[in-house]
Amino acid sequence: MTEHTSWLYRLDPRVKLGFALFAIIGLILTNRLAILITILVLTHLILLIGCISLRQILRLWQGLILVVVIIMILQPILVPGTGPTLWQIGPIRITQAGLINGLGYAIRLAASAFALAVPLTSTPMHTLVRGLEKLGLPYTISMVIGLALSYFGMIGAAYISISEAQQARGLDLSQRGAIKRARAAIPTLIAVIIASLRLADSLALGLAARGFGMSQSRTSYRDIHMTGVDWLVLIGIVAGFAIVLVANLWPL
Amino acid sequence: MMIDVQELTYTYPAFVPGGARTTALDRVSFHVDKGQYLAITGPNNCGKTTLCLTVAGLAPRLTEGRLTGRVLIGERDVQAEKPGMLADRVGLLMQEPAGQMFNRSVEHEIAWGLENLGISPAEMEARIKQTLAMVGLEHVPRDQPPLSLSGGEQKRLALASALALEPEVLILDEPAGGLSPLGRREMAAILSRLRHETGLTILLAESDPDLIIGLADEMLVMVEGKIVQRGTPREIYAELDPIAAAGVVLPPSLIFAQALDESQVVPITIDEAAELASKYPKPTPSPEPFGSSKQPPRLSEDAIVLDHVTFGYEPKRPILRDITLHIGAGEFIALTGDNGAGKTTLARHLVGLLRSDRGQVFIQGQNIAGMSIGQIARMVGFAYQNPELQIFNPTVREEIAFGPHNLGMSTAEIEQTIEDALTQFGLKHVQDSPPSVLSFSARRLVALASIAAMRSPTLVLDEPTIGLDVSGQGLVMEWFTRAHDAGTTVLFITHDMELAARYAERIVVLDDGEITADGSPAEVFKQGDVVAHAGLEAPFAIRLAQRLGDASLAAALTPESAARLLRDRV
Repeated sequence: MTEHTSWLYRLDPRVKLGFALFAIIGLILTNRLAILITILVLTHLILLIGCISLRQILRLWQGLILVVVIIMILQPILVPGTGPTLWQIGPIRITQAGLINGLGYAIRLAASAFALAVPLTSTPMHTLVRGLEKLGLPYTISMVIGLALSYFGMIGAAYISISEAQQARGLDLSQRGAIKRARAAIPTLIAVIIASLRLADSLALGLAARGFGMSQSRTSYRDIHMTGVDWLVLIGIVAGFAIVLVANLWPL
Repeated sequence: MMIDVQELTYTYPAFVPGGARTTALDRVSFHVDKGQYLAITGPNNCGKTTLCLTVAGLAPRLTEGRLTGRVLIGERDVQAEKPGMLADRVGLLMQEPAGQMFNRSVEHEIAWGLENLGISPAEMEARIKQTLAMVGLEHVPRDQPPLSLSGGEQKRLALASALALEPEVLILDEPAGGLSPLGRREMAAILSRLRHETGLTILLAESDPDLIIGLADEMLVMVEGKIVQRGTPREIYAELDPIAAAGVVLPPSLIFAQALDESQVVPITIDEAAELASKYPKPTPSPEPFGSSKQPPRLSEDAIVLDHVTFGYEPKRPILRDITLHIGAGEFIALTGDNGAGKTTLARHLVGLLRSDRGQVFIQGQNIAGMSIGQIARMVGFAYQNPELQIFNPTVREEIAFGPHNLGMSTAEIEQTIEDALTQFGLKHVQDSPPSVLSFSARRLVALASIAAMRSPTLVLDEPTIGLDVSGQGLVMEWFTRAHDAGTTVLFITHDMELAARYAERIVVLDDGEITADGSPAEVFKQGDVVAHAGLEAPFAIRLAQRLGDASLAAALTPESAARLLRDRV
C-alpha cells in the first residue's frame, strides 16, 4: 500500500478536517499532560498507519522544533506560575508548575500541527477544496486555501534553492556563526518574497485563462461522497473527543 | 473566429522611483481571419508576451500597465469582458505552464478548467480522452502528477487543458521554448494537426523558425513593440538584412544560402537547401566522412570526475545510473539530452548541490564528499537554469559583487571584475537597477555575469541561453569562448544542437540517466540512432549531408562551413 492508496488518503476530507478540528479543540480544553501526549502520539500513529512516510513526519518536526523549544524555554520564564521555586537567577524564577505549563504549550503546538497534517498530507488539493466547499465555504475561498497550502511547499523549496544559490556563489555558511547565518537569511527571504509574488502573478493569469469564476454552476469531475467507513470513523472521532472531555474532568 | 487588433498601445509603469515608463506595444494593428495561423516573432522584449496576454483579455487587468486601442475576438471587445470570461472562446498556452499546474493528476489538470465552465462529468471524461490524444499524451497514466512529467510533456498537457475548453482562438506564447529537439518536433506536429484538422484561429508568438515555416499563413516581425514587417514566412525571410538586424532567429538553411552567396534563392526548409546544394558538384570519393577538424584536446588532468555515480530523488527510481565522466581541465563540453534525461541532476552533482547515493565526485582531484557547497564554489562556478533562484541582491552591481566578495577578492579586484562583467554582458546601463524589475532575458544575463565575475577555473551552466535572443546568445557564447581560450573548463547544458556543434569540442549525450554518447561533435552526430533515441537531432549541416548522401559534406558542423565546402568544389 502506498501513500496514495492508503485508507487515510481515501477517507472523505470532511472526516479528516473533522479530526483536526476536534483534536485542536481537545488540545485547547485540556491541561493534562497525559492527554496532550496521547493526542500527539495518536496523530503520529494515524499518519504512520496512513502511509505518510517517517521522512515527511521528521521534516515537519524539523520545521517545528525551533518554535517548540522556544516555547518550552520562554513560557516557564515569562509565566512562572505558583508553587515551590526550583531555580532563581535574579528576577527569573523557575517553578515546576511553570516547566509543566511550558511543556504543555509546546506539546499543544506540535500536536495541533500534526493534527492539521492529517488532512493536509493525505488529501489532494482538489479533494480538499471540494471538502471545504461541501462544508459550506464558497468555492473561491476554498480554492484560495487549497492553493495557499499547495504552494506552501513550493515556496519552501524556493527558499532552499535560493539559499543554495548563495552558497554556490561562495557563501560558506559552515564557517559562520548563528548571527551571520541569520543575517544571510535576509536577502534569501527577500528573494523568496519576490519569487512568490511572481508565482502569484503567473498563477492569477493561469487561473483566469482557464475560466476561474466563469460559471456560477461549477461542476466536479470526481465528486466526494461520505461512505459507511467515513461515518464510522467520524463517530469514532466524536467518541474520542467525548473521552478527552470526560478524562479532563475526571479527578486525579 | 477572427481577431482584430486596433491601434494597441501598452505601457508599463516605472518600476523604480524616477524611472521611465516602458512602452511594450506601440500602435499595433493587425487582423487574423477565422482559421488563420499567424506567427509573431522578434527579439527579447519586442512585446510578444504582452500582446498575447492582451489579446487573451488578461492584460492589463491582471498585470500592471495602461492600454489604449481595442482587441476584438469575433465581434466582442475583450476588454469589455471580465478576466476568465473568455476561456471557452480563447485558449492560452503561456511560456512557463509548470508554475500554473496545481492539480495532483493529469486528468484533474485538464478537468479543472472544464469544472469552471460547468461541464458535466461524462462530457469531461470524453474531452479529457480526446485532448490527451490530440497532444500525444494518451500513453501517460491519467493519475500521474503533472509536475513529474518532462518539460515537453508539461507543455503538451497545458495545451490539452486549453484545448479541452474547445476555444475558437488559440494563443501560444513560445510553445517550443526550453524543449529538446524531440519536444520541438512533437509540438510542431501537434500545431500542424491543429492547423489542418480544426478550424482554430492560431496566434503564435515564437522565435523558433521550425514552428513558423510550413505552418504559419503569415508572420509579423516585432521590434520594440512595433510591427516592422508583415508577410508570408517566405516573403519575410526573403529580405534577410532587416530581420537579421532585428535579431530574428534565422532558419539554418537561410544562413547556409547566405554563406553560399546565393541571395537570389530563399531556401527556408532543409529540402530547399538540399536542392540548392545539389547544383554544386559532388566530390570525388571522400576518404574522411564526418572528419571534423574540431577534436577534443589532449588533456593532462581532470577538472571534475564522476566515478560510478548513481542518484535518485526517490528510492528505487534512479535519475542517474552509474555515471562515470571525466571532464578534462580546459575542455569545452556540451551536455545534452531530452527533457527529463537527468542533465540538471548531473550538473548539480558537479557543484555539490546534490550528493550521490552511490559513487564519488572529485573536483581538482579532491573528493567533495566532506566539502560544503561554499567550499566547492571556489573551484566551480554554477549558473542555474532558472535565474530567479540565483538573484537576491538589491542592485545588479551588488549581485555581481556577491560572489567575488565571498571569494575574498580585494576591493580593487572586485571593482575591476564588476566592470568587466557589466561590459561583457551589456549591463552597464542597468547596473544600479534592482535585478528583479528587469526583463527575463536581462535577469538571465545578470545571473551569468554574476558567475563570470567569480572567475572560476571551471564553469557549469545549466541551459544558459534559454530565453535569450540572437544577440543575448551571442554575448553568452562570446564569454564562453573567451573563458575557454583563457584555459577555463566549460560545461554547458543545451538542447540547441546548432549551438553545441558550433562551439563545443566535446558533446556528452545523456539518455534516461545514462551516458550513451561521448566524443567530438562529429563522432557523436555520426551515431544517428543513439542521437535520435536521446530525443535529439543532428545539426543542419549533417542532416543536409545525409539528405544529399554526401559523406564528405558531413565534415561540416555549421551551415557556414557546409557552404564553404561546397564553394571550394567549384
